[in-house]
Amino acid sequence: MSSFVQYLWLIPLLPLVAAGINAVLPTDARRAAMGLTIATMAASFLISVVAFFKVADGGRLCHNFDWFSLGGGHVRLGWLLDPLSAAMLMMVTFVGTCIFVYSVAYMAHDARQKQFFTFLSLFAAAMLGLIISNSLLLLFMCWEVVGLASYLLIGFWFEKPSAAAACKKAFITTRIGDIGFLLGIVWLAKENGALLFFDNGAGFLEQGALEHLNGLAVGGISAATAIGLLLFCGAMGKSGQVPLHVWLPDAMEGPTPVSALIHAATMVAAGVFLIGRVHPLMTTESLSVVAGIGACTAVIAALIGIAQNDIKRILAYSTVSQLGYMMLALGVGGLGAGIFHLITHGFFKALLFLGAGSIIHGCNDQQDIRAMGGLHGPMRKTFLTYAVGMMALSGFPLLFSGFWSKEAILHAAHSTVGSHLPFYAGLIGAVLTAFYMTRLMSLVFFGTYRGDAEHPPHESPRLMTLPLQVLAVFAIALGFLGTPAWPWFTTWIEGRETHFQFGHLFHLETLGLMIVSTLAVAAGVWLGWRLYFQRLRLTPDETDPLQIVVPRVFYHLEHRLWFDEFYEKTLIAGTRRVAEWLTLVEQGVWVGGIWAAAQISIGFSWLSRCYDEWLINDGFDKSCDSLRGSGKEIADAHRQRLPFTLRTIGAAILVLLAITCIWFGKGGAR
Amino acid sequence: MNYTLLIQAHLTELTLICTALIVLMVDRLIMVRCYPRLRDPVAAGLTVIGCGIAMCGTFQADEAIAAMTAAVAIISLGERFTQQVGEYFLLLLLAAAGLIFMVHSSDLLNAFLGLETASLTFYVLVALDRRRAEAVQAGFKYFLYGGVSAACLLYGLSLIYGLTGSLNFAHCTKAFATMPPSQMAYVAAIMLVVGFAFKLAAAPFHLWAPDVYRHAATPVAAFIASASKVGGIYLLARVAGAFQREAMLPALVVVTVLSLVIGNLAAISQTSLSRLLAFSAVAHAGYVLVGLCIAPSQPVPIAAMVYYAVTYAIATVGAFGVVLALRRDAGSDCMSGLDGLNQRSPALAILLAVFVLSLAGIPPLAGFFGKFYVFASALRGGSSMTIGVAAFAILMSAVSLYYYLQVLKRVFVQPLKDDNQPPLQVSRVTMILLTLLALAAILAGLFPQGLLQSLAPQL
Repeated sequence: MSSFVQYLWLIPLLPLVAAGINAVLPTDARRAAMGLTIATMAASFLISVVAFFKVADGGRLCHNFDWFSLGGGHVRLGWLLDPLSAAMLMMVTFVGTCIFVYSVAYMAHDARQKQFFTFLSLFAAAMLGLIISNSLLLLFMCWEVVGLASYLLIGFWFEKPSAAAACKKAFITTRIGDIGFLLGIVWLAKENGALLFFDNGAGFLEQGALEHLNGLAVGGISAATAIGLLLFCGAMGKSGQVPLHVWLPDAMEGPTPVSALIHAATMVAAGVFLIGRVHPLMTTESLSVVAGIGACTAVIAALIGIAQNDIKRILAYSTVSQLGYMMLALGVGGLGAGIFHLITHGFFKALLFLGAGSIIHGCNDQQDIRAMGGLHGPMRKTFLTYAVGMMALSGFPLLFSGFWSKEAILHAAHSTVGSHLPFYAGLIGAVLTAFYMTRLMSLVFFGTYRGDAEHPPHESPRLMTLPLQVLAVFAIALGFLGTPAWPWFTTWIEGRETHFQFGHLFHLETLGLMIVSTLAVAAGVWLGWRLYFQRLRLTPDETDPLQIVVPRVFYHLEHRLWFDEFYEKTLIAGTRRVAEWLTLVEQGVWVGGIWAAAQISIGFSWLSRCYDEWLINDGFDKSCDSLRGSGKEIADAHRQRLPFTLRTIGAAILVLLAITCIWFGKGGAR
Repeated sequence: MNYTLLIQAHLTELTLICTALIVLMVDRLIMVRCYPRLRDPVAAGLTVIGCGIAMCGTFQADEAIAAMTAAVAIISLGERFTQQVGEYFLLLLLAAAGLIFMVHSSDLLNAFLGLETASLTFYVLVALDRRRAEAVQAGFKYFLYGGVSAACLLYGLSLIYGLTGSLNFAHCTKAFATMPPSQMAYVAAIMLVVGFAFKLAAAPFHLWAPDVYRHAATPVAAFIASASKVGGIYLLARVAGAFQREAMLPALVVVTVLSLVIGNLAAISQTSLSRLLAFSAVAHAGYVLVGLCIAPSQPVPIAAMVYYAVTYAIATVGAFGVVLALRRDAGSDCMSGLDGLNQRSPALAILLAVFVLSLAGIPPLAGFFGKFYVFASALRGGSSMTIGVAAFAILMSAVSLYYYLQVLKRVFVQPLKDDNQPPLQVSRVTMILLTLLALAAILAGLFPQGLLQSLAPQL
């Protein structure tokens, strides 16, 4: 068993090797690059399946090793395989493979396809490394590489100014969170010494370290709480939690497969994964913060999503909102529920994004849903799979995975001992999600086509629809791993035993919650139906029905609640002000000081130069000359004839003998 | 005696010897008559396969020797210095087999036999290019000094036998541990030092080296500089461990200091690249001998010394590969041929830079850690004399930078004399090999611990 986990590094290594090879391939070797990327990802998936079966019965395997030693200290890294990482591995490699296949068709006309696949491989390697690492340090390193890959991919079409701005924004915003993360790591390293999660009792997620950290008090809260909150800062940045969510919608400037893979299914889930990983460290106080932020994010992002018109932006806000859900779940103690939603969301959100890509492709690169419409006819396959994704996301009852995972979250939020506000936030979020998804479906697939009449919409190639169909199957099937009757997934993640009990479905609380959430979904769908489906849009320029009903609210939502403008006016303007002020200080004070210092240095160096040239340099030159001269003499001495050299050997032996005799003769050894 | 066990213990040598015979037969019986154009590649290919089989197992000194042999066989491709292709590769393989036999033996006499097998083939290899008088002369010189040094070595071994009544390493170690130093031991010590100093080209017994490096065919020079160094240093370290090191110390210190001085200073004023490498080999013999100039109570840092030898061999074979290209292009290995190499063949220039910097011991390349480990073990010894020797070696390695950087200056700074000069002709296989060697030099420097542990002999 333990021998397998030693080779767990193969999973990230394969894509990494692919990235390395792709990087040095010539630019026109697109077929080789694509083949390599997909093949390595598929191979990683197969290894992940083996890994999954190693821990399918629960349990935890880890393998630690010394990375390097500095003096007496060892920096240790390790691999970890437990239900959490196994589930993530399966999800990332499988969804990744689907998306890679899809990208082959989607990026077929791009000149820099090879670079695209190189970056994708690099991303996959870092993401998989992040999942299997058993050390917060290694996790952080992969975390940063993931950030880099995300930056490269968002800015893949860097010739568009908006894409260039978006990748910078993403990088800087997540970096703000990472500062907290890094501080947390440093603090943890100081308190605990090691950064391994599990290390036979010495890891910081194990009993001894946790007790120590809980016991330390810093300004009224325990060190565990403070460190947990710092780590959560990193998670907030990566997982787009309010108020650091602003980068994620802009990240949609990247190619759609990137949005699907990185900014919906996998990377943005890394923050949730991190909190899930360090869940034992999180105290009640820090968890309540997590739950609060998650609840705010779930509601605010869903609200903003209502009033957006770009198909990918709607999905982006939906992603932010769903990530809020996951955080909420983790915050109310529902570790299994949160991760379950992470996994199901990974599948159906990837499906929705890829579907959006297919729609954009079919509508000749149109992204505005007001200019679409009536696509259910010409894009049959996309429509059907998209409908599955939409119903999974909105949480249509019984058949769709999103229902069961949302159900698990609401259940956790309801049965928590703390505040019930997150529960209500979750319900409101469910209504809003169903509403904006109904709006999206109505505008995109029904009514008449409102785009360019000369280029009617067309279905995408098989290579693009096939991944959609595969993902749609999983968007349905995965739900049955975590129904209340058989909550295998959630208990597996939390390390508990489970049994199949059909009766659990009909417990009063479970059944009540199911009915309540079904009602919430129904309410959202009904509202959407009334506003958008019953009066289908005819031209792209019509006013939005919601705008007619609540014009002021819509105005604020349409402008994304002014988050960007707020940051522009406060943080960015403030930073700029400080920078300007510092420039003044620099020019007034420091430049003068430096000038004076420079003059003094010049004076000294003049003195030093005189000293050097007249005293030292001559000496050095002379010794160099003599070195070179003696080198020449020695070299010349080697151009001798045979007898000379033989004589040298003889003489040398005699001299060595003499030296030895004198040496030991002096010491008296005879 | 159990022959199965015996065969198992010497499987590597047997593989190489069988390969040698196959190479000869294939070349003489089939290739000469039927496909004369393919003689080189087929013989080299068979040699590489044989060495590849011999390399199976943990990477230790014997595998390193096989690897170097394979590398030399690859750079020999297309070098038409002899018509006796089959014989050439046969000799290479026999030399490798001799060296590996020496590494495997647990007995001084067997080790000596292996060493002499290798040496005898070296003499022939150097003189193989019979058309050139210089090569024959160099081979003859080499043979003559080699004979003298073998005599010294054998004399030393016979004295050891006289002192202990055995030639087994383990037995000798035990016997010498309790024996007070005697005059006979001093004589034996000097004879051993002289014999090994000759094999390693340490001053003042290095006089054969410049001529041999210069006039022998370049692959042969590369082979003598790499594989024989690894084997020689391994054996010297083991013999020194088994013998009374106290008795060897004065002679060792003299040889070390002389090698450092003569090797580094004489290299400064060389104009021929292969003579420069020859003197640098003398200097490197000095560096590695620092590892033996430690207090007799300390254990011999055999892993560090072999690591040094292996990393030196990697860099030096690579450098000789570039010399080869230069010779083929310009007809001589004059340093001025390197002018502006960066503009002509940038890839080759970078590879040469890696090899030369590794030889100079610049971190993070392998050469740095070789020096680091050897000097560190010397400094750990602690007596004022060993610290002095190590400090002197560090000083001389600063001097050595002068001539290594001279080479790189020509490559990267000097302008190309004639802008229309075509790139150097290097075959693709050689290029791959050089790239692999450069990677090895970089990786062995980045992860020195792994190679070091693998090289530590399980005696």
